Amino acid sequence: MSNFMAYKGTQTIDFTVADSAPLILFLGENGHGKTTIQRACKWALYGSVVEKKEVISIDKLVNRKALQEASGAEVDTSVQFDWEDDENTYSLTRSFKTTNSIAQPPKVVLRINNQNPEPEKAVNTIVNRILPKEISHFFFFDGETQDDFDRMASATGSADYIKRQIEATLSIPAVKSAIATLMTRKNQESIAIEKANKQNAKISEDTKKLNQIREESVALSAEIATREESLHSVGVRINEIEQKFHNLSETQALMRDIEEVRATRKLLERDHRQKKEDLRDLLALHPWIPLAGKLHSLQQNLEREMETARQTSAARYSLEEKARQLKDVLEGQPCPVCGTKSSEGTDQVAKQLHHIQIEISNLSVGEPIDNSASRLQKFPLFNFSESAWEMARNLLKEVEGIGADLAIANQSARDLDAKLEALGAVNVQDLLASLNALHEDKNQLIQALSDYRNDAKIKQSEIDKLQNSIGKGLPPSERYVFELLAYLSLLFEVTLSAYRSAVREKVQDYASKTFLKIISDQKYVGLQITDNFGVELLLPDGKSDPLKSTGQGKVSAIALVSGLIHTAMDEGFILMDTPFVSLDMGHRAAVCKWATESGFRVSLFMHSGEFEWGRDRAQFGDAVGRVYRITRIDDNESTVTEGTSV
Amino acid sequence: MGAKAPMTKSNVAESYEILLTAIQHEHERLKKDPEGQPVSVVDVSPADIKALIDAIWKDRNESEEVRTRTFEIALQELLVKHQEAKG
Repeated sequence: MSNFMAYKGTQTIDFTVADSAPLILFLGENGHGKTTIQRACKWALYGSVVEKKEVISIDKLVNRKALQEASGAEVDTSVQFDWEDDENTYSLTRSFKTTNSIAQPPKVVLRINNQNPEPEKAVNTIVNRILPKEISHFFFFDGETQDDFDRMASATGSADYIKRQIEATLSIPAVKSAIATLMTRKNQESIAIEKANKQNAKISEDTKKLNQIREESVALSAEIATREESLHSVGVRINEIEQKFHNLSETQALMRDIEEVRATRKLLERDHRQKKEDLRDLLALHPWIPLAGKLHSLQQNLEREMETARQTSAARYSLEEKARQLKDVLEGQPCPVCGTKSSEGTDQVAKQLHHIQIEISNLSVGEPIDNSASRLQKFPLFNFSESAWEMARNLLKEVEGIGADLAIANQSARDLDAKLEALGAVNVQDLLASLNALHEDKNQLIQALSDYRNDAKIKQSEIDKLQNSIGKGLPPSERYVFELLAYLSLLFEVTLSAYRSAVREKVQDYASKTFLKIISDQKYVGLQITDNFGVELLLPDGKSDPLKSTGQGKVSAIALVSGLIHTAMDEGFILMDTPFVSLDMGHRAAVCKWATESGFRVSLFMHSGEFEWGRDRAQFGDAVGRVYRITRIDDNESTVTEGTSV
Repeated sequence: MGAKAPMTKSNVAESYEILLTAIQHEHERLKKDPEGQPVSVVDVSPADIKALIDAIWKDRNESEEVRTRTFEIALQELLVKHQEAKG
């Protein structure tokens, strides 16, 4: 591959392995480029790559990084696919150039045995002869094919898919074409005979009847075609709805979450409303609450002032008492303690008195106690209370807390709505109703088709009789071609039915063998492809169980693909993308064992969630021929290297 | 230079054999019970049938137009051969 999708520059993958070690492992995480390798193979072979039923446009096949680094210069994108069969070697290269982000039409070159290139127009025919596109998804078993098979194995509504694949694989459309040709020729001969017999009265009468019945038959065919078209449309619609149901469990879980969030939000809104009303009532009762902080601070200040004033007053009184006593001593009054008079130490007393007087003068005058007390007494007048304020604060906290929870719930609701929208906002009830209605339509159409087909058979039988009758009016040599064609038509029709049954049995036989190798539940003896091409699990008593688990579905899908490949080809390869998802360890080991013993060259593309080299390699024994590591260098560049080291 | 891959021959030989066996078997069955069947049943040989099946198989993966043309040619050859044999 050169500059193909995630792979910048040239990457080479060698698929050659010894018969004794036929497995190739591709190890890499999701999004690193595992699927791209399959896409490269498909693009080289068939010239298109499909993703989610849409063809990927060519400008998306070129590596973006190479394009950026080229800065407008030409970038070559190509995939070369080399292979060989018993007789020849083939080298197929598909390429295109991109200049200034504009991709040129791709070219394809096929060389057989290194000779000159085959004519470009013949390449698709040659490739299809070797590896038919319609069966290619059996060996390029990628995620999308796997999804299709998982669904087809688990939903009878998708069984038509299996039928189409089996029939396409076994060239049944080609046999049908042949039958149609025979019928056309037979009718042409019949018409020619009619013309030749137009003079014959009896034959004329028969011819008249024949024309009438033929018209009725044509009308019936038209009815059948219309019903088949309707049935196909209904099938497509059912598949679409089943696809939506694929996301159903996720959607249902999401809708449950949304319901829960909505219920929580409702409760929160109710609480929020209630608390706000309580707060409003409290404010009506205590209009001062908005100023409560200031009032509280004022009250505390006043109380502090009163306390300070009280303390100052007490200190002043004590100092003044001391000063008065010292004055008395200075004025010759006896000492109030010892009762004596003394002139000694007068200076010291005077000094002490002076200090006390300074202390008294330093004492602040402050607010008179009476003033503060008077102001404090006014607080009860407007019902100021600490408890009411406390209650208001608590209510406010609750309102804010509930408001925050409500905001979170609203955000969750928005997130969940966005997720639901991303999932396509499946309306389960509507979907179920549509699905039921469609199944009813389908059943009615199947019944109508069956009736019409029976009518058509009857008409055809009448036509045959009349044609024979008319033909017998002619000499044997003239009606010979008609009789020959009539016989061949009959022979091919009965053969088609026998061939279909034989093929179905063959696919079922191979699928059952694979299924039994992989499945751990010993109660089953095989797989059964039902008359309408659904898949069921066969019990020893000949009865059958429907598929019950994802694991059973996965194993059945692998078994069916194995059966189809075995039926379609003698030898070959399979590229399986993430085959172990939804399988437990036991079934993984069984799939590994099947892969090693299948007789195919199996390439398994796996991520670390399903396979770890150190832990799981023993499951493959010595059957691993090559191991490739797929690594992403950045968003626009991956690389694939051989070897087990990271 | 790319890689060499062991490749399927896309051989549906076994299916071809199943189809051929089925048609020869049905042909034998119809021959054994010819009541109501055209006399020409006996004129169709296993080789005639094989020629028609081969024509179907040869272009089975081609378009319907190509398939039909190939089959018509084989059928025409068979019809001419039988008409000539009848004189």
